[in-house]
Amino acid sequence: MTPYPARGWIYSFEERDGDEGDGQGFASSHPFWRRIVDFFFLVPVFWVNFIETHGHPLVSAGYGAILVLLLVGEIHVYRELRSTLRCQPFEVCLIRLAICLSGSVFGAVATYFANHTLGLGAVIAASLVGLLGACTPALLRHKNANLLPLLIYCGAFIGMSSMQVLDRLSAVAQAGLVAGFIFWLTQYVYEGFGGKLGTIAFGAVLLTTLLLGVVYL
Amino acid sequence: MDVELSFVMAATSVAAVLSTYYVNHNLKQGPVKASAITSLVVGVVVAVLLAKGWLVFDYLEVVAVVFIGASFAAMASKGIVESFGLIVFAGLVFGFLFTNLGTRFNGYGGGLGTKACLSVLAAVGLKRLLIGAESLRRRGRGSQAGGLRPDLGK
Repeated sequence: MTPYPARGWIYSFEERDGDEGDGQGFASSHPFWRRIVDFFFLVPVFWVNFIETHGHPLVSAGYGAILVLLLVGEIHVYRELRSTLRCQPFEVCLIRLAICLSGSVFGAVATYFANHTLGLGAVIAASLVGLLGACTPALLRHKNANLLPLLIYCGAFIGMSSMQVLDRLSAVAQAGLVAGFIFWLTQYVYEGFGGKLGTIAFGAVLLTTLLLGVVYL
Repeated sequence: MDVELSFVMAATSVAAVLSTYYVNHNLKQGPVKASAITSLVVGVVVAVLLAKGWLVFDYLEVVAVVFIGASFAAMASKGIVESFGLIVFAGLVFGFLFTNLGTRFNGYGGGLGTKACLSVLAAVGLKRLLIGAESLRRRGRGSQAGGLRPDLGK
């Protein structure tokens, strides 16, 4: 069990590691509507494209099947979440926030630079920056440095954006800041889920472009 | 529906998830390094093929993009996706989504990762359905063998 207090600065969920609680935990502390809202928030690309797609009947059937699987998977994730949310002291939160913000901004700016200025292309640029990020915990011997590879790779996804979406480095850095903040808020949610970083990056890019008035949805 | 494109996307996605999952879990390189290394290799190979003109293929440029997108799905931990079968299913779903989703969010960073997240979520949903079906089947066997439903026997 972690030494952190049951009620802390960010999260106020009462269950901790190894604490079974009432067997319902996080799932029972959140109303049903909250789960539904989160589910729809998670898959904006899917919904927008689902509405505008007019394809083959097989494609529509595929969409239907995937929707059912998504719903089942989502319910399972919320059941698993109940023991992962826990509280941390204020100083640890601040250190992790600093790591999140710096890592994602570095990853985003470096990838964007390598992609557009050096002309390496999105795939090679993101891979190189990700590989560089994977080496950082060995260089920085801090106990929270294991977050950096994830954050740098998350930032790298932002740097894969085209110039029509993010047209200058300052916008990329802003998107990196947003992504770092979102990651910090959601660091114990969807742990180990493939695609979590990309979803955070997408949300950050979308939010930044909306804030900057680049796109009109 | 372009059958050739769908096949190429599905094959690329499956190759990406299998290689990344293997490097991640079997070679124990971690998710970031696994995805980055495999994508870098494919990205460099595709760039060289394009530059030299050694392979003329309509969808060659898209292959690298699909590969890195599918590799994001294979960054999942073993607690979420524990078997190669499930990760292959996630790869197939990714290929389907990549081929058939609209183009509104093309060029947005993170779009590939969002599709990868959807495919992993679909794989988790399939896993839960299979586990549920298995438990139902076992319950049915138990009631046949015992003559009574387990809960009625208590």
